[in-house]
Amino acid sequence: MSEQPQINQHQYEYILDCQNVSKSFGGTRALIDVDFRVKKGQVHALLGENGAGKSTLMKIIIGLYKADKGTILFEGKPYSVKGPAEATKWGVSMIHQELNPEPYLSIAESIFLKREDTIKRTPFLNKKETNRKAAELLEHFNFTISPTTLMEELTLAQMQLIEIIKAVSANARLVIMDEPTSSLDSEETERLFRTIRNLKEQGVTIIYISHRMEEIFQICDSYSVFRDGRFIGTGDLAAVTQKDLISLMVGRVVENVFPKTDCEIGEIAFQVEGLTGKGFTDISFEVRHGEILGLSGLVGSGRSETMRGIFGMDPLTSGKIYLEGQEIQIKNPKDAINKGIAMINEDRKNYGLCLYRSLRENISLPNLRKKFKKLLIDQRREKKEVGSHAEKLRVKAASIEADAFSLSGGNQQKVVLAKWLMSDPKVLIMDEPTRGVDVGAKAEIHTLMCEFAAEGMAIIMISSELPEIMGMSDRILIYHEGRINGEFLREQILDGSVTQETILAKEFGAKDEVVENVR
Amino acid sequence: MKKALLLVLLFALLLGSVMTVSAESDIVVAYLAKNTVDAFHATLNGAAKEALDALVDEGAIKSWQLYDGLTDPITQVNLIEDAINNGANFVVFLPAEAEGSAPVVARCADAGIPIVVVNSKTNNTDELAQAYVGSDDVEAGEIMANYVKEMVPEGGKYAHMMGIVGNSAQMQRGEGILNILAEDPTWESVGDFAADWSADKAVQFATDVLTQYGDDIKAIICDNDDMSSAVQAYVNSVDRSDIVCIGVDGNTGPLTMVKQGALGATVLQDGAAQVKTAIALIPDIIAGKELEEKDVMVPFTLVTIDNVDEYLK
Amino acid sequence: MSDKNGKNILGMNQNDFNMFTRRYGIVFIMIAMFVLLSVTSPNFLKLNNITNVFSTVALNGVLAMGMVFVITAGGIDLSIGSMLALASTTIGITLKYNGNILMASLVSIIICAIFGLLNGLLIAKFNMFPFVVTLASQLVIRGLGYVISGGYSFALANPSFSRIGLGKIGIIPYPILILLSVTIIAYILLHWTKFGRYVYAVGGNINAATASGVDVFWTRVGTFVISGICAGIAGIIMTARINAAQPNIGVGYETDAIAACVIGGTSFAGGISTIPGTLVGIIIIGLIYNGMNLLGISSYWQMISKGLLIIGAVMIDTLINKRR
Repeated sequence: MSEQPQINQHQYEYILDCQNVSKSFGGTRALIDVDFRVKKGQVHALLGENGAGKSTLMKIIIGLYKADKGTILFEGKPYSVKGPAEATKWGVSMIHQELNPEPYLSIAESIFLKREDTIKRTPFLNKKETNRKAAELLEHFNFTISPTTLMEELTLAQMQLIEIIKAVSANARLVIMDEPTSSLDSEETERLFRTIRNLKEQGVTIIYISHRMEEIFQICDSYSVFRDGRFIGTGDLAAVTQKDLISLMVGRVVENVFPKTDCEIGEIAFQVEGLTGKGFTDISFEVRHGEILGLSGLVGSGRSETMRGIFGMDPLTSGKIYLEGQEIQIKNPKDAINKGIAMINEDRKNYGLCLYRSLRENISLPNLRKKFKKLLIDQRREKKEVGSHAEKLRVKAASIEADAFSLSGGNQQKVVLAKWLMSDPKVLIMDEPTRGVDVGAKAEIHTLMCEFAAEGMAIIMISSELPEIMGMSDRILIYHEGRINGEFLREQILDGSVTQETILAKEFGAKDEVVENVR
Repeated sequence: MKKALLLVLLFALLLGSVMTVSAESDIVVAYLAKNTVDAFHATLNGAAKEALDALVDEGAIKSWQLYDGLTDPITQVNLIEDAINNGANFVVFLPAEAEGSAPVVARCADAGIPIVVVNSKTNNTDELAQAYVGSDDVEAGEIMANYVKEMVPEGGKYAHMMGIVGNSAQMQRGEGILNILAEDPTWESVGDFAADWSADKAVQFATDVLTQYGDDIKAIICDNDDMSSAVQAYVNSVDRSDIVCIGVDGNTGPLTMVKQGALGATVLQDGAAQVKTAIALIPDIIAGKELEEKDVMVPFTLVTIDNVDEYLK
Repeated sequence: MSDKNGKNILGMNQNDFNMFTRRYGIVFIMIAMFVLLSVTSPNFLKLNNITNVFSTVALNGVLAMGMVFVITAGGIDLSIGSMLALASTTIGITLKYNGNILMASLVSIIICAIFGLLNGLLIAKFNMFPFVVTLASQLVIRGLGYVISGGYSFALANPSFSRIGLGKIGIIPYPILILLSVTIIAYILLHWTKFGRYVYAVGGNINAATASGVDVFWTRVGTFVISGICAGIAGIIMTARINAAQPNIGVGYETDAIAACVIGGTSFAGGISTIPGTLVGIIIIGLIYNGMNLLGISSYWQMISKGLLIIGAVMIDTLINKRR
């Protein structure tokens, strides 16, 4: 193994070989003399915190950016493209984290976009042929759906699969997947992994970018780690542990991935009874002061919908809500905030921040009504209070007057946390609190959650990442098709009587007996 | 910032093109136009330029400058201040509105600046202005109505396309039409339509009128000939060239149509003569001579195929 | 990572410099124009001319102060030109039957505010596009102006009313004082009150505003009411200046108000604007008109340079936003 391979073998061993690639934006050096190699036929994990340079390198490879210096070889040939279209011709495709399909194209039209079949020597489309070929491809990927279905009718996972099919049908030999599972539930993730294995059998090489360690160990063969624009290391995944990778990424040893501390659990803070609305039916639960309640379930199982209903974002059709024993009415988020309920939305960009306003304005926005009762805002007091909250949460920014836009994902999430923390909530609802946040910031947010709980806050956390749910919750409720289908305690997880498999089985709607069998 | 600098430079460039004039007289004339875009005023402004340039050459005045009122009374009220600040001590004024532009005349009277009002009056012109040169729009309306009667002796229905409602020319032309046709039992109006001097609006109304009254319509009388020529072109295109269309102004387009025989006639308002007459008064007013008549009327002329060549240049 | 590697401009690093140009770039353009005009036109710096520039600007300025609220909240109000006409005819009629100036002014402001409220309610309640709603409502409003005036304009025989347009305190004409008061109130409202914050939040990200407990509905409606009130006030100035009530005035005045906002750094996407910027924007437009008139440059060029300046301002806005 350790022998130097001969030069032509070398060419065939590495499908992609980047040498000394550098790229700067203005004064910022995004990539510094990076070497990056991917062996043919492997699923290669690309790891690094946000801002480590992964996306920059990938964008260079598909031609969205031009490297300042360095050479790239693809299948042994010097490779340089001016855009994704040209990259596709070479056999390189990228599946982006956020998909932007044309909603009114059919599946077939979407797959063959820009390389449509035409009736011989005419400019007219040959729909029949296009649909037939699409149907063949869909069948090959075990995807039972009509090729004439419109893209807008598909779920995110299905759109993603179509993107993959599109790439493969264009004879892609290297497919880059950027956080492909970030908006998939566990079942969809499983399905994606089957597709990836299928691609691998066909000899397609995959670069897999993800923050989720468990997935990487599940699906990938080898890894490369980037940090601060530099290449840090590469190797086979079989030879390392999660902890090794994380310390490579953050440059320090992260001792405890989930720093959950046990704190005193008090009286019932918040309770709902028989809540029903669009997407959820007859939901009842309670949360105590100091408790972190985890809600787990597939995407669309009604977790987020319930929380939106409680927070007054969507209407409830029936059910009662109690806060510290008193029944309360919530018609809109304003009511909820006035009562002492805060909610961190899963969609930070759309529901969390006004990106082009300052941290100060963002953080004080929900608190103006309660904390600044006078006609004019006391700006000095505002600065002081906002500043102290930003500091407490260790938000890294030039100042509280900086635009939210200028911050990294993790810091933006901390700003969202700060704004709700300033409202002194009794109940804090966190929907995917660490989505799109890098490993370091993730740990910080988890630590903060424990601090909040220790101060007596009742926390309801939704997460699609099972390790997060299992590592952070005092109690876990499992959603299945709009109803609660099980409850587990932290002790059961700690003593090993409840595992990821148990929870997954519940999420898929298993009855208790079946769960026993899984165990 | 580069872009900002570029903009400043561009602005400087535009400012760079300053005109410089020198002569012995110290009279600076502000020619406050109604606008610089419609055909009638373009002709009028052209005649003014010719006449004023001549006065500069003669040494009767030192310089003159055009201020564009954009057909907006507030703009004119603002512009008179600019003109005064810019050293104007004689004003030739074409009001945009009878009421709204009145403060311009008042301002000049206050400042002791002589002002000659041209083409249409403001409501304070009679008391405050040195002179008024224009035409009697009632006469224009009467000429149009008489022409229609002459062309269609048996009578019928007619429609009236109005200018911007409330404008003095519009009101007086309408009055002239009614003077002749209201008492005539053979003629019946189907309505006055607010076409705002605009040809396309007039055509739209004409379409509706034709749809509703069909063959009964014998004439369409318009407050200006931008409208009448467009309406005539339209009715000709739908095989109704029997309809008599007529308007006021005598712009080049309608005159050409008269020459080609596509339009029967148009009523020429000799704007060029008005403005030339007004400018000719300047030396007398400066000299302090008593004017024979404070209101100078320039007559309207009916232009038909017979005399069109005199007016079509 | 390495901000210190950034280029140094005027002793500032790149980021500070961008911030600086974004905030004050437009002020430099204004100052440059002032200097240029002082040099090229001997009449420009005369006191009379300067007060003239500002009183000319007053009307558009008051309109722009209302418009900036609407645009900041992510809307647009095309109906203010028509509101001027409605305010004007309302004043004419109230003065005719009542004679009380205060009464006439209040009635016209209230009527415009009501139409602002209707605009806002339609837009916020039914989630219709502000562009379309106000495009339509301007027809309704102007039509009403014609209806109540019978289509005619009439002179106001009330000399004390025309003092609003032409009178002075000391050397400062009333319209300038009105503009200053409106600007100060707008500044306090937008920059120092909760309502102002909500306006920014609604324009910046309407979903985030809702999720933060902001009363999005009334915030949006409020901006249109403010725009209406400003149109009413501007209508008073306009009517007093021409000393006549007319249903056909004010056509196209929304364009200058929008232009002033944009030149002053207001983002059309909403959520970004300042009151001082808007004031500077409107002064720049006033300087274009006045300067070119003083120099005898034709109004065609005035149009062109105003258009170019708007394009330039938007370009600067997008370029700087992109760099961030």
